Amino acid sequence: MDDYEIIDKLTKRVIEYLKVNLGIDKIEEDFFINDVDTLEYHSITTFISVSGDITGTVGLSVSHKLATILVEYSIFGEIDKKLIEELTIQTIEEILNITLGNIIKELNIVKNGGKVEISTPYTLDKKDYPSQKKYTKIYSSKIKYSDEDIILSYFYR
Amino acid sequence: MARILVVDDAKMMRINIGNMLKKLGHEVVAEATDGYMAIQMYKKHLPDLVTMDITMPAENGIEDGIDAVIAIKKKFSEAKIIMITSHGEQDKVIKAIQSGASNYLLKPIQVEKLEEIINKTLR
Repeated sequence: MDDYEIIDKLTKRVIEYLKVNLGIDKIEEDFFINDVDTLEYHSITTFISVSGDITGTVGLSVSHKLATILVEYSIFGEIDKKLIEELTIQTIEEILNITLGNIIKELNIVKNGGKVEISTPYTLDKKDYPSQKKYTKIYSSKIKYSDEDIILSYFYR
Repeated sequence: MARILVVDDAKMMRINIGNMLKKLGHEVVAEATDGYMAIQMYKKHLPDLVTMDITMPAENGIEDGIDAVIAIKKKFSEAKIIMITSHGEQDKVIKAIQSGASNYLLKPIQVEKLEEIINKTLR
């Protein structure tokens, strides 16, 4: 498996999910994957641990403002405006859970008979974010939306 | 129109599924946030159908949606349950179907797919 296969496929799937499933036209399709030493985060970051034949942690980070926009797009039909705030973290967790779940079977290692499992999503305070020192590499991509961006990351061991 | 029990620990999913069901002309008779509550709600409301998330917090010995399926089917063999799942949970889906779930639906949920699977399950 290429080191960056997960982040590449996940980024493409997140873009597709936001544009096609949620109907967010303003999402830009171009992105770059960077090999970074230290990762930057926005205010809401959700993680999913990957285990089995590959091991690491995948993250999705957005600002609070973008999280509220994503809630409005994610809800089918009408939503009480008072509920939007309450649903921000669940929405970000659901987006990462769905998109990562969608690409697992597309990974070369799984196509070749390997087994990869993912945890349930978890959202942490900044002080509890995974230590970046214990990982061999960190890959990161950014998806642009207007003046905001979504940061995707893969901590690879 | 069917009377449906919606089970999911995520409020946004309960709202989404509930809104879709209403649009399709069904009635959400109750909601539950874990497997144990799902069993209680089933006994109380005897719905025509249940949409059941697989991974939920454990409560009173009911570990997840699969345990809830087993408990409901043990007492109500005619119960119709659709599992709601993501791609990463294929092994659990197989276990849920073997335990008596009628069908499953992969996330992201689309209203057309939900309608199709409900019609197929209630047929």
